[in-house]
Amino acid sequence: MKSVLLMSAVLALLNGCSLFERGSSAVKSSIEIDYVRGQNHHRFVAVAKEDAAKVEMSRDRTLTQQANINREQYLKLLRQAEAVLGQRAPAQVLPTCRTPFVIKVVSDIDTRKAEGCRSGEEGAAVGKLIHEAEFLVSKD
Amino acid sequence: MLGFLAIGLGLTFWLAPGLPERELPRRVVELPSELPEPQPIPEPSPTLEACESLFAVACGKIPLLQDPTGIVQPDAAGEIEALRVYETIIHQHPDWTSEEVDEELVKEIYTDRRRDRIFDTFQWVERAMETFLDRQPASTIPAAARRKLKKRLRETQLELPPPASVYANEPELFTKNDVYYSSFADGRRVIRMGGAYLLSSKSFFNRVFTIAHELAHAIDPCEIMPTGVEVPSYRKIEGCFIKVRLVNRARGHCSPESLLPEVFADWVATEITADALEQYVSKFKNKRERLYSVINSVRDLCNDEIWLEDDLRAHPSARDRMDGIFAANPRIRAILQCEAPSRRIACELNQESP
Repeated sequence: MKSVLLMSAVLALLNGCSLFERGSSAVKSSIEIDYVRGQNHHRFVAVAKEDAAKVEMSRDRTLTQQANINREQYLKLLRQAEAVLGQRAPAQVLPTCRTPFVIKVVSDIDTRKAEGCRSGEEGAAVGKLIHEAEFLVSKD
Repeated sequence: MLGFLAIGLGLTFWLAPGLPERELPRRVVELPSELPEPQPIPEPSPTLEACESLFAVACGKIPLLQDPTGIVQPDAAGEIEALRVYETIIHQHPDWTSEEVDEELVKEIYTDRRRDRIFDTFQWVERAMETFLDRQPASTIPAAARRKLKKRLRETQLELPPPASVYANEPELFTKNDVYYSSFADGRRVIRMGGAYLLSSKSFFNRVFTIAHELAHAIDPCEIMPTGVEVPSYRKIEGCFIKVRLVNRARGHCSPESLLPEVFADWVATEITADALEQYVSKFKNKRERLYSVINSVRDLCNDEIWLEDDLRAHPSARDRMDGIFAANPRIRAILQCEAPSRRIACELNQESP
């Protein structure tokens, strides 16, 4: 079993997609985004489990939305998150950035993290990801 | 907490004409169905308590307060209401794209009446801040610096939808309570406002404090540092903030971890809110209206970032903001008719040593 997983991990790395995308139901995959805007701290979490993913959104630790989305919907969000991580030289959090964010993608292979400012290009991608999730959660 | 949210939600439906009744969306966190009636706080002890600690009164277990200009609901209630509107539109138009839903959402939330109210307050605050700068002697703010600071205020735009494309890079803002200042690489300076704030805050005094805080960032010591504008009194007041422990010198002068911009913005917002309260003072019918107006000005600051590590917090504690800055201000204390000065020292622009 371990050798199967190891081989899958190697293949996944070579092909540039996560184990979760390749259909392994035993793998871990999640997206976490924390951002501050104005007086508020927002948190977005999507955790994959088998053929679905649980999405939770909260503000200052108060849960405002939670729902399940299907696998395809989660994969779309995952690709958007990985695109943010893969953007060239994510902007450093500038001293005058009042809307910093941290995005983390966790998988069985690794945890990747990037920081940036919502007012930058990478911030726009983060906003679209969160709004896409809001739309999916509200539509279902 | 849930009762607080329930009250807010109930009053949202009561005080927000035009919002159709709808079933509780499945995706939104459920709240209790029973909504207790708001109860007035008995006089006079709350005013005395507020003079001792505004934080203890404002952030204690008190219901929604109606001041002469409106109420302030909990942040979460506004966001839940905005999400209800969003979900209703989606369910009514299941074939619409996300962009079509957004256009309808901003029309429903950012109505002409709400936008006018916000723009009117913004213009009032901007004029009040220019007057505040004009009130300072040349020894505090030299004439050249004053001109540049006023120019920065005038050039800061309040951006509100519709159309939805105004917030194209932050479309999730429509359902959030955030009000914030941002400067962009192209030199633009803007203030943006989440749709939920328009639903949750109807108190003029709260809008004044909130907008003044954000607009103050256009002239805060760290924001103007790269521009070369020199304001000697800024260093003095920073020294005071450090001495009274509102700002931690160890975090660095204008580092990302520094609280100096937030403390400065709160300090300026306090002065502008005092202007608003003083202009209204002859209309207060009793002590209760004075107290509620003062509390509502800063009611939404009660959310504390206690779950964050100390070095990750973006703002001073709610107690410091309310008792250390807002209620320490002698003008606010005069409006509350406090007999004694605050135990916390109030900083002034032209005075370093408290």
